[in-house]
Parts: sequence; structure tokens; C-alpha cells
Amino acid sequence: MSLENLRRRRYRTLFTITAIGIAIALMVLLTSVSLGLKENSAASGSIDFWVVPADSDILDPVLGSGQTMLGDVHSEIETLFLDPRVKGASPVLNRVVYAYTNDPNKTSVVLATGVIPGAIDVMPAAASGFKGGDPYFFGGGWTDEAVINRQMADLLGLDVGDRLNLDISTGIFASPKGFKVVNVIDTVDYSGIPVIVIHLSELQYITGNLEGDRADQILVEGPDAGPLLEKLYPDHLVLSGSEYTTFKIVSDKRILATAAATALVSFILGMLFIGTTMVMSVSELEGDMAVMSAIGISRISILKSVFYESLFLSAGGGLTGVLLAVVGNMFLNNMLTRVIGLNVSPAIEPMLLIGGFTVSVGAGIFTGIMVALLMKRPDMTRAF
Amino acid sequence: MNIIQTIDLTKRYKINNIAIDALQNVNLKIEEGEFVAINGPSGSGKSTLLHMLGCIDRPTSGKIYINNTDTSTLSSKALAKLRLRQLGFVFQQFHLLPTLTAFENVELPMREAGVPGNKRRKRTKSLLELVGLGSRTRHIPSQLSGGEQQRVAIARALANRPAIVFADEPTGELDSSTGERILDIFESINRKSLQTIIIVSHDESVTSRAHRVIHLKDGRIVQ
Repeated sequence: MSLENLRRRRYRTLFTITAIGIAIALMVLLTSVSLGLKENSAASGSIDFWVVPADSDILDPVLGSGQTMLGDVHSEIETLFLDPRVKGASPVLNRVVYAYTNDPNKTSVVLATGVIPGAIDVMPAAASGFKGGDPYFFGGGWTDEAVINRQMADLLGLDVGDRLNLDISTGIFASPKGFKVVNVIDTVDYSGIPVIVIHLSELQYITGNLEGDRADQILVEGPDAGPLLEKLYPDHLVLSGSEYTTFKIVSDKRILATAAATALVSFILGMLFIGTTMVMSVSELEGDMAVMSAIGISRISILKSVFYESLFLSAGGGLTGVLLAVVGNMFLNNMLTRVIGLNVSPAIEPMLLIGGFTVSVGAGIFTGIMVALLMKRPDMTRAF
Repeated sequence: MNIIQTIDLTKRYKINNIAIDALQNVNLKIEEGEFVAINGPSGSGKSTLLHMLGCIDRPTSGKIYINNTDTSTLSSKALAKLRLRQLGFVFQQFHLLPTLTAFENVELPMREAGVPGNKRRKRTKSLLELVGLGSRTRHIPSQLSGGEQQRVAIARALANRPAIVFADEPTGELDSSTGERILDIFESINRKSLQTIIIVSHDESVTSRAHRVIHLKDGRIVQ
């Protein structure tokens, strides 16, 4: 009956669902953009686990550089690969570096990411053009290989085969190392800021992390690898996909504040839209409710139908919001890439979509209960 | 056996601090299987009496027994259950739920009563056939004529096999031939199923079919 009531007032239902959807989509997009702007992506793809030091800021390559790091990461990876549950694994080191092509006085600040190419089947470690493994660490030569993304290519006017220099300082302290671009990543779901990806040990060398073999995190592929990682890294955080997203949000007060504020506003907007519709609906259905009461339909059954109506509205709004957020994200990235060459939120985290839907349904449940509680007992004599 | 008995039934309303006795010390007995018509001029208390007997409203004083149960001692929940299982209602303006089909409207009280699906569907179908609407089950009220809507309302009232069916001016919105057909249905139900029928009406054709007519004036039974 609740569905029939919503169908009967289809324009109002459509308006309410769309309005809730917009609020939810904005919430997801704003949080996603906050995350996208902050996280200067280490990787994209289906990573099952992240291993990070307990007190590390894994998102911020600038602020995070002074934080605790993981050590002896190459040997850690070798140990991991001994277990069949691990399908792929690579340490990741992220640092902000100076990059230039010819003139050392014309440097650009970019994010450098060090990985072991081929060790894991996700971007950027899976980018083609790299020699597999990390030869320099194991006594092989300096590879010079660099994979860059489209933003970096546009920033420095680079293409495959071009050379550039990287350093962590400029001026008299500079000791640049040269690299050759072997591939340009064009996929939009990879980082939205200029990124250069090189072999881990070569970035460790440039940034002074080779001694101690340090990295910020280890990415692991293998859905069953959780227990192994928990055992191997009892003092570190082992995060699954959803935990990683949650961690990214709660570990940064700015993102957490954005997420909390947008969630609260969406919740309130959802409540207002659903509440208004429900109050109108209840007032319109007063006569029907009086008849239902008169023929013996219990109050609880009547309240249930009101509650379900609210729930259907909120679920519809939540789904619409999720769809709008995905479409909005694509539109936003497309537009910003064209206008300023930057896609701020390469991909919306599934956790955020679940969060958006949950906020909407939460608003529906809350409003449904409130409206049902505040609803007067119908005057049955109205039926006569 | 008395299926309904009232003892000194009184209903007093306060309008602008002025007390108005809609019913005054009404003592009434209705036998099981009777076909009773209640009539009287406007404001005589007919509808109020129907509300009281149908457990829609509570009396100011006095008692109402339905099937020997003192309804004044029952909670709202118990009264709703009583209305659902033992009483059926047919309203002047039909009052079918507009978003539900004829079938769903008739099915609703049985659904609430927890009648199993198969049994419920079978009974709904047979009730709609009983009132001559076997071919209109999927229509919503706005697609039915007034007479058809009233027949659906009768089928709904009979859904849980109530002992008593109350009807408030059931022919009031219908033309005379349709009204006659509705009354035929009431008469047939009363005769075949021995269900007690209590109809409030001004209509002469209703009172002429009733076993007994209760005439109200100024909140009192006058004959």
C-alpha cells in the first residue's frame, strides 16, 4: 500500500527522491573531492590490503614524510611472496620532488611514487614499459625508467622517450638524477595531480631512504591474505578496502570534518524533504486512515505503512544520490580536466557510496519513526 | 440470543461548553440474525448510536454488550480486534481505499486478521462473485461505478465473516434501482448466513425490508 501511495502521487515522490538524491550526491562528491585533493594516489585498482605504520599519515606525502615508515621492505615482500595467499605485493614510497627537463631553474613540484614494477597487478606498478622487479636494489644498474601520468606530461611537456631530472632540493644542494619517460598513464581513475612513478630503490636513493630500505606502505593483493598480514605485522595497521577508506577519512580531521558536515547536512535535508512529503501524505490520507481504523486495521499496521513509505522514499533518494554522485564525479573530472587539467577525485570510493545510501536511509528511518510517533489517532467517525 | 444489548447508553458532547446529549439512556436488544433498521430525523442520534454499537466511539455512560462482552472494559487494541473479526462496516460514501484494487480492498481485513494467502485469495474471489463483481477484481475504485463500489464495500465488510454488519445510509449515494440491488444483497446475506444486519437509513425501501425498525428522536428510542 505504501508503494501504491507513492505511485499515486508520483510527481511529489519524484521530486522528493530527486531532492534527497541531490543532497546525498553532494555529500559523496564533496567528501570524495576532499579525499581526492588530499590523497596523491599511491595506487588504483583492486587492492585487498594496505599495511601502514600505526601512526603514519599515509595520505600526505609532505606531512607524512616525517612520520614512521616501514623498514626492510624488499625482504618483507620476499617473505610475503612465500605464502600462496599473497597474489601480489609492493611497497610504496610517496614523496614530493622537484622535476625539470632542461633548465634547473625552472622546476616543478610533483609527486614521485616508488614501487616494485610487476610485483602487483594494480596501477602504477602494473604500468607497461618498466623492467620488472627493482634491479638497482639487487645490485643491477640504475634503470632511469619513469612512468608519468597525463597531468605530469602536460605540465612539463613530456612524452615517451623524453628525459627529465628529479631531485629533492634545488640550488647548491642539488644532485639531480636523470630519468627517461617509458610510458604515459592516460587512465582517468589514476591520480589527478602530476605524478611520476619510478622504481622504489631509485626513489629511495633520491630521498635518502635506501639505507634502511624504507617505504610508506605495502599494498597486497590476495583476498585471503588478511590473517597472514595480521600475524606478520602485529604492530602495524592492516587495512582492508573499506577500512582503508574509513581510515583515510577519520585519520584526517579536515576530511573527517567535511564528511561529517556534509553527512549531517544531507541527513537534515533528507529529513526535511521526507518529513514534508510524509506530513502532506499523512494529512491527505487522514480519511483513509479513519476508514482503516474503523474496519479494524490496527494502529500499528497503519503506522507501519507510514514508516514504509518514508523508508521507500529514502531508499529511492539514496540510490538516486549514489547514481548522481557517480555521474557527477565523471562530469566534474571531465570538466576540470578540460579547464584546468586536473581531475580532483579520480574515483569515488565504494565506502562513500555506501555511506551516502546509509545516511539517506537513516534519515528515512528517523523521519518515519518521528512522523509515526507524532501522528494522531485517526478520528474513525470521519468514515461515516 | 441477544447479540447486542445496551444498558442506559448515553453519549454527551460538549460544544462551546454546552452539553448536548446525543443519546440518552438508550436500552436496546438486538437478536442474532435480525435485520434492523434505525431511522429518525436529522440530529436524532442515529449515527451516534451506530458509532457506539460499532465500537467506533465510546459512550459517556452506560454499557454495550456485544456477544455478551462488555465493550466498555476493552482497550483500543481489543476494540480494533473486535471490529476486525466480529463487525463489518458499510459506509454511505463507500470509502474504499483508492490506491487498492477491488480485490485488494476486500483482501485487506483478512490480511490484517492473518488469514493465510491461499485461503484469503479464495474467499476474496468468492465474495466478489457473491456481489456480482467477479469480473471487476483488478479495477481500482475510480474505475468502478457507485453501485459497484458499494458492492465491493459490502464484500469487504463480509471478509472476516462478522457476526454483525453495520451500514450507514448504504443506498444514500445510489439511484433507486442500484439501491434496491444493494438491499437485495443485504437481505440475502441476512437470510443465508444469519448475519445480523443493522442499517441506518431514511430510505423507506430499507425500513420496509427490515424485521424491525428502531425510531430515534432527540437521542431516545421512541418506538
